[in-house]
Formats: sequence, structure tokens, C-alpha cells
Amino acid sequence: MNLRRVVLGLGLQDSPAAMTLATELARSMQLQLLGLFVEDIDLLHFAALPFAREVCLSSATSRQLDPTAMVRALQQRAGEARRSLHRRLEGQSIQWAFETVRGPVMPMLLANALETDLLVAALPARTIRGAAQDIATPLSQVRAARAPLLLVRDGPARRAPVVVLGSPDASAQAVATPVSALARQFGSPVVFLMVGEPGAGGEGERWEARVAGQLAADGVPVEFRHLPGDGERLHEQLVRIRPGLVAIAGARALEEAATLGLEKLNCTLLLLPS
Amino acid sequence: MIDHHRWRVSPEDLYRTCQIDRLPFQTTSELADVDEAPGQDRAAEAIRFGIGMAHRSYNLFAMGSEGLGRRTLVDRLLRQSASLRPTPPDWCYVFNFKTPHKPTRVPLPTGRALAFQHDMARLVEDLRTGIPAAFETDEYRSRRQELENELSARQDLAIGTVGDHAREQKIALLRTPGGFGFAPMSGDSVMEPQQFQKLSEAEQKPIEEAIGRLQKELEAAIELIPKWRREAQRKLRELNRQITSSVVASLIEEMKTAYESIPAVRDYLIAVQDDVLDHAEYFQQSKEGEAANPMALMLARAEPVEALMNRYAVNALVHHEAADGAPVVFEDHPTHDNLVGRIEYEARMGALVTEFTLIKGGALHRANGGYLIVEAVKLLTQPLAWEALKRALRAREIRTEPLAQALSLVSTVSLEPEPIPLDLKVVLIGQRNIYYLLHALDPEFSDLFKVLVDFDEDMNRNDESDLMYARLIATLARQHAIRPLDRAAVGRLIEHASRSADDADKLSLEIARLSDLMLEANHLADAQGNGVMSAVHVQAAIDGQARRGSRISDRLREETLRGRLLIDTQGERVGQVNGLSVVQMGDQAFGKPVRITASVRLGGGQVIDIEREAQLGGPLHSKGVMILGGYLSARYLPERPLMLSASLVFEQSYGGVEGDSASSAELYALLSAIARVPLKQSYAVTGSVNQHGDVQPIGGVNDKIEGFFRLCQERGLTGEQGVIIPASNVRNLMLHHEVVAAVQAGRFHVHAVSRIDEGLELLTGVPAGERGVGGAFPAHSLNGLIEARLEQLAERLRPQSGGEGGHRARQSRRAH
Repeated sequence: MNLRRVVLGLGLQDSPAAMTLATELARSMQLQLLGLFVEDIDLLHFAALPFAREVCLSSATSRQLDPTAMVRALQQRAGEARRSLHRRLEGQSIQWAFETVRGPVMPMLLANALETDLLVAALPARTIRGAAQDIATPLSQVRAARAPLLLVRDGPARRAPVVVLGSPDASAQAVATPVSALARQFGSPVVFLMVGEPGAGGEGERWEARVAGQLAADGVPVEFRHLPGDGERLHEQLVRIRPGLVAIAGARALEEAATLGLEKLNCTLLLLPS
Repeated sequence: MIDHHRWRVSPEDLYRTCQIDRLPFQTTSELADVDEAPGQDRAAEAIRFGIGMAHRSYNLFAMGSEGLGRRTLVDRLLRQSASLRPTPPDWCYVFNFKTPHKPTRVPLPTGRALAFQHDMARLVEDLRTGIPAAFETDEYRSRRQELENELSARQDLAIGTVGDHAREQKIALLRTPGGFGFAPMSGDSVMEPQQFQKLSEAEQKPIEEAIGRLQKELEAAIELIPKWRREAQRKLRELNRQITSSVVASLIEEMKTAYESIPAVRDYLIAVQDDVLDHAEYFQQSKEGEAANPMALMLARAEPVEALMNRYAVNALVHHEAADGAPVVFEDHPTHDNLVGRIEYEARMGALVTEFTLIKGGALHRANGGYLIVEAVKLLTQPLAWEALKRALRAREIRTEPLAQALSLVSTVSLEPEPIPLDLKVVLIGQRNIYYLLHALDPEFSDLFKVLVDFDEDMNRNDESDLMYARLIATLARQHAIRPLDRAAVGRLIEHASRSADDADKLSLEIARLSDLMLEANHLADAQGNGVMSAVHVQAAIDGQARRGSRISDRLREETLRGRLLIDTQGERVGQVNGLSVVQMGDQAFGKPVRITASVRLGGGQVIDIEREAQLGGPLHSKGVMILGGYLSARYLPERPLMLSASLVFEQSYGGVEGDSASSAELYALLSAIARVPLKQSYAVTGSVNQHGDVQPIGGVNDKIEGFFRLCQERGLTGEQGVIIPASNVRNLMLHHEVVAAVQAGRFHVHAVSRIDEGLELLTGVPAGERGVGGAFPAHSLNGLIEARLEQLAERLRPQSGGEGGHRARQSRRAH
């Protein structure tokens, strides 16, 4: 995998964790960084409705909204995001840029991310459009993603293991570089959770040795676990490990992640679709 | 013929030489230090009495002139006493967890304050390490996560339920910049405004009504969130308390054991333990991304962690070393704050804030349990300092209160530290007038300062005191680390001390001046490389001081020699005499001859003091002149009224005149004018006079004589010149060696008289005359001539007035 740029998706909600991971990855992997702020078109449509009112979270009272005020609020938020990013990058030798686009949030982020980009976006801790349905929303929205995705769960940082799901093939090996950088950032060991036994002829062992060598060179402890069967106990294992980050690679990575219900694990997700 | 020798003062009486052969040493290095200040026995006894009196009102006031060694003696005796007394306890201020704006005082055994401060700082460090470790455990993470999830779930459920209701009606719940909003959906997106406009009114209205209901429902849900947060916060605090209690307890138990014998510290540590458990989150390290956590937001801190940690700090306000004894503190700058302490402020975010660690102790804190020395004039010239000191002494406690707050000048939030009990002796050092003013004007003063320590200005001079003075000189030489003095130098200093006291039988106790002179003499000896200071150096230093301060006297004498200031030193003149005045310029005094003239004429008996009329004469001078009228009335024609008017003038005097030392000279001029008998201008006169004609002593006799002598010397001594002084001033004579030499050579004379008649005879060369058997003065005597002139004047008035009418006319004039 040949990454060239980190695209940090920014929106109405601030995500310090996403910003931290994006800047750290850009620094450690020596990538360019693009801060991409999306003015949510849904909010602008909403504000243009004649009865648009906002129920304030702090006062529990509602107030009239209009498109001008909404645009101003979004622009202000974009300015804050730019300044916040600037402060974080100050004094670091990271090439960076900042852009603002308008449209539906996730489609706009996906549309602006190339295959050689790592798209970093916040995985909301709380629902936007209602608790029940939104649990699956981000993954359902990113199925068409071409670029690798890092969906960051906000919340207190903790030293939980980084888990890589997959089989010993090229796609899982491609995960090694970004996972190594993230593991260093988390200060955590990496656990490769493999479905099935290592392949015959020692190919699997050699693969593991290669990956282990690569991570060890970065000072990251690594462990390989093999789950017998076809992976029916995978989710159970994940719950037990309580990972801080789960990485999954391969052409069907996004579908597998949705199938496994990874969003319910309350952890950060690294999805490498190709 | 008048025999002038009757009144001449012999050269031996002009200067009392120190008999250095009676001094039993060669140099001062052989002499032991003096134990106390020589001549200050009364003061030393008073200080000892004040120190010994345990009652709180027995503070001391040490009064006397500058340079008498007041502070040195006070300090020495206080330190002697202090070294025998126990060192007082240390005092700290700590945070008051119940009433934060009233810091708590904590007394500690001597020398323990800094250790306690250090121990608390270490405890906080340990807590800052131990508590975060407890928060890092899986148990804590899990239980905290449960709480977070519980809160999130409640919020999500509440808002999500509303969202579900909305979705059922094809309405989206959107997150907006400030909260939430509802919008109709079209497929997976929010309906565009144009699309909504295309709907019929019948289609729009239900949507708007549904959104209105949903908004109310959401408002009701959101109103519950703060309550849930508080509940979650309480639970989190309880969890933090449980998690940290074992760590905190074990660390604080160690401290409790170490300070078991100090109840105040034990109580404080119990309060610390409770507070740490209540605020365990303060000890958690802040982490990247933590602010986004809803629980972290709930416990968000308004102040930096370091500032919050200060609540467990210890302000070691007063700390002593155990072996120090009681403190003796001299406060050189006794402002209100320097006495009772101050509360400092820090600027934070543009606001002035304070806390108990910013309480600074004052001199009263440092001296508590011992002694405080303060100069009275400095204390009284500082705003509210005197009041603050009295309040502290009265209340026997130190209440630290910002001056601005005491004056109600500012309304900044401040502290009210718990007052610290006060037990000390205060010694005020000041001038006599300050003591008397305080005594007269401040009723509290005499209640609080009952011990008067009165320093003598001089002491008697005899062989014993000469030796004591020599030891004092030796002590000072060692204190100032200057070379020893030989006997002659000591002798010269003793003689100079007599001159400074203006009395041959006294020694001045102005230690500061003596020290200055010794230092200057030592400096001169340095230049010559002598190992021992000799009389030559002392004399050179004395001459140097005189020369440096002689510009004004030299200029005045120069003006006299040039004839611009009119003073005759030869010849005779009616109604004119040379008086002698002393001019005081800073610490320099010099004698200045002054011409006094008198004129008489027919009048109503008044002696007019021109100085007084011109408001140049002080009250004592006016009194002296008024006495002259009494003398004339009593001495001459006692049965008849005085029928003259006289005017007296200090010629070419452009400043104020005070004192009555010129009253004899004025009387001589007046009598000369009445009798029309000239006075010798080769004499200068000083002395006051009473109504009976007795000449009374005056001050500054040496300077006065030397002032006239210098003028005569410059013009050339004729052997006729001299001064007439009161006989009672002979004991004050310590004249310059040049005057003594001139007198010995018969080129200048010092006459001492007791009566006005004696002075008159000297000045006129005419016998004064006494009343004979018939009650009349001899006709050609001075007094005879005076009485005859007065009678003549009285007779001259009689024909003009005549009989009853004349008497009435006289009464009328007097009334005017």
C-alpha cells in the first residue's frame, strides 16, 4: 500500500482524537495532510425551511434558524477547525492544506479521497439522526470507499491492543505499516487475529515472521492468534480483547466490518478496502 | 579706676585638660570592652525592668537625642535576655476546607514548620503519583466506563426516542451547531426547501405541527440531561473516592503518625484526607482527547491543576531554629504591611486573585515570642501603622488585613486569615518630644508603653568616668575595626566630649558623633600609615569637621571685616554694645557677634523690642526684654513712674532671634543710653539677667567667645579685647587652644560677672555705685547718672501734665 496523504475529515462536531491520530500518522509516516471541512448540505437545507428551529442543548429552549446564520455558524466552525489544526502542526515539518467543501458529509469525504489517501474521520460517539438506526450508518455510507479509512472513536485514549483481522496474505501485510504507526501512537501491542490454521508448507509461518520482524523493527510487540473454524467466534474474541483499534483489510473489508458489527465495539476502525 | 582683674577668668579655667598621665594604659587595645553604655545606668535599669515585667502593657519607649546609642543599648540588653528565653513556636497557615477565605493557623513546635511544609509537598507528589495509578486500573476503567455508558445511554435513549418518534413521521433529527433540529425527510436526505414549498398547504401544515410537537418533546428530554449529569458526577465522585481511599489513607496515615503529637496538624490532615477523596479527579493527569469525554467535561476544572494543588500547600509563615532563643527584630521600615503582614495578589486572566500561600508575615510575626524594636518617628509617619501596632498589642493577636481593605478602598475578594496570638515586648525608640506628644495626645499610649527609658545626654566628668570613657572608645574602635588609640588621642577625645557637652565637668554621650570622629581620625592615620591613632589625628579630624562646616561663619566674618556687617572691636559708643549669638546650621554651631543698640526718649515707660515688633523675636527673647523694664523700675526711682521710652535693636539681624542670652547686653546698651556714658566696643557680652540685676547663665558660651575672638584675631588682637560672660558659665568653658593661648599671653580676656553693675564697670570704666546712707547713688557713679537722667525725664514730663489733670493724661496715654 502506497499512501501519500492523510485526509482529515472535519465537520460540525469537534474530534480531538481524530485530529491527533491524523497528525501523528502524517508525522510518523511522513505524509501530507489535508484538512477537509464539509459544510453539511442537510443542515443548510434544514435552515432554509420556513419553520426551522434549533433546540439548544445547553438551555433546552428553541430558537429560530435561518440559512445565513447556519452558513455563518459553519464557516465559523471551519475557521476554528483550521486554527486548531494549525496549532497542532505548528513547529512540525508536515506539509498541510485546508479546504472547505459543501455537500453530504460522508459522500463528500469519500469523493475527495484518492486511493493513495488515508481518510481519517470521526466515528460519532452519539447518534445524529436517532439512536437505533445510526449505529450502522457510517459503515453503510462508506461501502463505496476507494481509499483506506480510519474511523476514529472519540473518548479517553487508552492503551488497548490493536487487533488486525484477516488471513496471511498480501492484504493483511499491507496493514503492517499504518498499524505499526497507530500502535506506536496508542503505545499498544498488535494482535493478529487469523481465521483458520497457518497454511501448509510453512508459508503462513514465514509470513508471520516477516510481519513480526517489520513491527519489531518499529518497537511494536506483536502476537498472532489463530481461530479454528470459519470465524464464528471472531466477534466473541474481539469483545474479550476489548481492542482500542481494529484493522481489517481486503476487497470485502467494509462488508466484513459491517457483518461483524465492529461499530458496536466502541473502538477505532481501520478499513483497508483494496 | 576699675580693677579689671577682679573678673578675669584665669587661663586654667578656660579649658579642662584631660590628665592623661592618670590614664592607666598606653593604647586602647589594653582596655576591656564596656559592658553597657557608660552614663546610661538609668536607661539600662529601665530596660531591664521593662524586660522583666511580664504584664502586657509594659512595653518600652526609649527616648533621647539621636546618636546616644539608644538602639545599641536596647538591642544588646534585649539580646542578652532573648538568649535565655525559649525559642517561640513556628506558625503556618493552611487551607481552610470549610471556609476557604479564612485560612487556618497552625502552631508547630519550634523548627517544625519547614519540615511540615516539605512533608505536605511530598505527600501531594505521592498522591499525584498514587492516585493516577489507581485510576489506571482495569477496575476503575470498567466502572467509569459503566457510568459513562449509563449517562450516554440515558441521553441517547431520551434523544433517540424523540428521534424515533420523528422518523416514524418521516422527520429527521439533526445535530445543529447549538443543539438539535427537526426537518422533513425526502428519502435519506433532508427535504430541500424548494421541494417543501411545492407541497400544498394541507401537506405542509401537518409537518409543521409534528415538528412543533417534536421540539417540545425534545426540550422536555434535554431538560433532564443536566440532572442526569449531576447524578453521574456524584456517582463518579463516589467512585473516585472509593478507588482512591486506600491510596490516600495509607499515605496520610504516615503523616498522621509523624505529627501525632500536634493536634492541630492531626485535625488538618483529617480534613486533607476528606478533601483529597472529594476531589480525587484533580490528581488525574490530563490526557489528549480527554476533553471530548462527556464525563471529563462534567468534571472540567476551571483552574489549572497546579493552582488547585496549592490548597494542600503549607505557608510556613514563621519558622525558627530551635537554638536561636527568643527573636529580637528591628523593623527599619515599619509600614502597616511590614508590621502586621500583607496579603499579596496575583494577576490571573486580568483579575487580581489571592490565596493563603500569598499571606506574608510581618515584623510582629517574626518578633512574636520575643522583642520588636521600632523607631517611633518612622512608625508614626506611616499610614495606619501606629494604629495597627496598638490594635495588635491591645488584642494580643496579629490580624493580617490588607491596608486597602482596612481603608475600604478596594472591594477585591480577599482573605481573613485566622489571627495569630501575640506575645511580645515592643520597644519604641524616639526623640523626647515624640514621647511627650504621644503621652499628651494619645490616651492609649500610656496604657501600652508604661516603661520610660530615658537616655542621658551627658555624664559627669572625673577620673573614673574618664577611664570608663576610654573603655568606650576602645570598644568602639574594636567594633569599627579601626586602629587602637594612644592615651593622648583618648585624652583629646575626652576633652572634645566635654566641649561637645558644652561643659568642662561633663562628657557628651553622643556615641554616634564620637564614632564619626574616630573613624575620620583613623582615616587620617591611614594616610600616614601609623599603627596607632594619636592626638594629632584626632585634632586633625576635629579641625577637619570644623573646617568643612565653616563656610557660613567664614563668610559672615569676611563681611564683618569688609565693613558690611558693622561690628566695632575698639573705641567707645553710647547705647551700643557687642552681643554674642550662636547660629545653628545643621549639626554645626558657631558664634557670631551682633551689634545691639538702644535709644531712649521721653515716654510712658515702655521698652520697645524692635525684634518683637518686626515679628523676628521669639517669646524667650521678648521675655528677656520685658525683664529689663522690671529691672529699671525696681532699681531706679522706685517711688516714681518711669518716664521714658526705649527701643532695642539687634542691628543687621535679618533672621529670627530667640533666647534671652542677650538680655544683659541689651540692658548695658539701654543703661548706657540713659546715662549717656559710652561703652567699650572692644568687649562682647553674653548672659541673661533677672529683675534684680543678677547675670544668669546661658548656653553655647564657648562658640560665642570663639566667634568674637576670631573676629578680633583677624583684625589684630590689641590686648584690650575680651568677652564678658556670666560667672556661672565658667564651668562650661572648653575653649579652643588659640583662645587659651591668647588669654595666657594677655592679648585677649575672658571676664565673668555675677551682677549687671560689674559688667557696667567693665564696659564703661566707671564705678557703678551703690546707694548711700541717704538712699542715693553717688552723683558721678553710673547708677547715679542713670537715676539722675531718669529723674530729669520724669521732671520734664511733670510741668506738661500737672496735677490731677496730668495724672489723668498719663493714664490715658498708657491706656493707649
